[in-house]
Amino acid sequence: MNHNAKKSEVAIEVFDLTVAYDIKPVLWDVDILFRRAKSTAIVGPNGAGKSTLIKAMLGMIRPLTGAVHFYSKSGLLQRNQIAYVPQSASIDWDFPITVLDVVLMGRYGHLGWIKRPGKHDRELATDALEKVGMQDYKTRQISELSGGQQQRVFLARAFAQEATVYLMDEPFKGVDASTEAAIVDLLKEIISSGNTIVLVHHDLNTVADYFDELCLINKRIIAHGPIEKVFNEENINRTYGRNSLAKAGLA
Amino acid sequence: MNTKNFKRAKYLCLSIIISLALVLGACGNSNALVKQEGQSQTEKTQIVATTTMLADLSRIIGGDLVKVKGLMGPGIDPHLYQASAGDVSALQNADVVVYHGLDLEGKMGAVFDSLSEMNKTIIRAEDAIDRSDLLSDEEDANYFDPHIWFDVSLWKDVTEHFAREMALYDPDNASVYALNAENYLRELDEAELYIKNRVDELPEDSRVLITAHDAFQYFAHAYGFEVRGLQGISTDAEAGTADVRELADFIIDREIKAIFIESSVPHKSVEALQAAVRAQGFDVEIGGELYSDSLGDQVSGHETYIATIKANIDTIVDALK
Repeated sequence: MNHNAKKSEVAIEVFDLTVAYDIKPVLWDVDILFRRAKSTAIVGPNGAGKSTLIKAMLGMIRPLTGAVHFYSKSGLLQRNQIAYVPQSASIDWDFPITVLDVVLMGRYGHLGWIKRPGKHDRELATDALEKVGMQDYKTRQISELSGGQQQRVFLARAFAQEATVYLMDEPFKGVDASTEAAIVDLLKEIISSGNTIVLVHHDLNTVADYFDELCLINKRIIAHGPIEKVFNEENINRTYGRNSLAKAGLA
Repeated sequence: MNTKNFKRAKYLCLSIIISLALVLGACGNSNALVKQEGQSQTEKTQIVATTTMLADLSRIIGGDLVKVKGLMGPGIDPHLYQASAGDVSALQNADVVVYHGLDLEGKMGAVFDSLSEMNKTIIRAEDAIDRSDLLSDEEDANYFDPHIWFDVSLWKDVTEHFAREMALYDPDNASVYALNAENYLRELDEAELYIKNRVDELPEDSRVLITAHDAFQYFAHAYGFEVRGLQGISTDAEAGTADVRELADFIIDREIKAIFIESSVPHKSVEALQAAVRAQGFDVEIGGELYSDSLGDQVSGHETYIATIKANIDTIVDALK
């Protein structure tokens, strides 16, 4: 284990996780604890297994070995307490559905089958849209929005889910500056209410500003811990190869 | 406007008024349980789907909002299936009719034609697929191979198309169909990965699939197999002795370990092929039974699309290894 954490502080425990595509291992023997009420960035080069780690944690990919446990303060987490924001939505959003309806999808885990979203759910959905600055688009079709706007709506959906743990796959990818700022505010709000975020990130420039902890990965865990302890030239070079920090113009 | 069109427009207006009334009625008590299971069956959308694959998809995307009747049972050959009088009335009474198209339901064309004249909501799997993704028959370029479900990525297109059409039919529940589709697409991603991993267990020159009819072109195309079939694409033509002899030589030449029978095609032609190979002193196994034009049944535990395609790849890889 890279750093020590008390059991009560642990939100997610990943134990002995190995995942392979086409025989070749993509993730190799990953052991990691994600701490409660912290945001952790997962950072590494292309093909390092970042998205795979998230998907395997969610059970969307069956690992060769290993186990993942999600904890609430008192015990194991329920599935609807885990929110997931995929890299780009897996559905083709040329779909006849309004923005508000997309956000309401986040409420279905709380509803039980067939019960329609009620007033409370609509209020939560509207609040979530306000948080990402999309309240004026409520009645628009999702297909009419730009990529950045769609991304905000999907974050609002995750937020409306009122989850305890949020797993996000590159939410900053390809968004404009104002969307990026809106997402950062949302992340801060999630953390300040005691919830946990694990997020795949690709921009080394912003890691230190946006996150509490850093997990550097390249098929194996290279380093993991608080940003101030882990985010240094030596660890970056071990993750990306020699002198990569200098190449990225960050040294 | 002629009388027929006028009548149709009148009918359309009436149905719009009725559905508006239903929608408004439903909104009136949006906090209550609107549709409780078992209590108000009549409110569910009645879907009639032709093939087992489409019935499975309808149940997954429609969930508790729909009641699905599948016309063809497991192991039924859709190429040869003829609609019974009971089927025709089920189709006429359905809210939504789901069929495959691409001439898969070869003997039902007239029935679908008459349905499309009735203004009924029809969802066709064929419409989901980009023409450039379709494979044509080797012998007749005007005729497309209908067996698209063997390529999971094409079945994802069908899933999206189906969910979109259901959302247009029932916009009130669009988010339910979208959510169900999103979850199912992830399961299909996982199934696709499973197939690719299993295929990787086979050396490349062992990736040869020999079956009774040429249903596996899309499978071959998507996952890197060479396929040989005794008959053409449709099951309504039988294999000739020349085909058998030619294929027997191929099996011996390539030292192929196993050939396969199919759930919805008679076994005798593949058994004849095996006999022809054995007569030349080479042994080829019957590698097992593949599901081709229908899903498995509940007894087999392969009654869903995902279970069926996984069972197929397991049968193929285990026999050819």
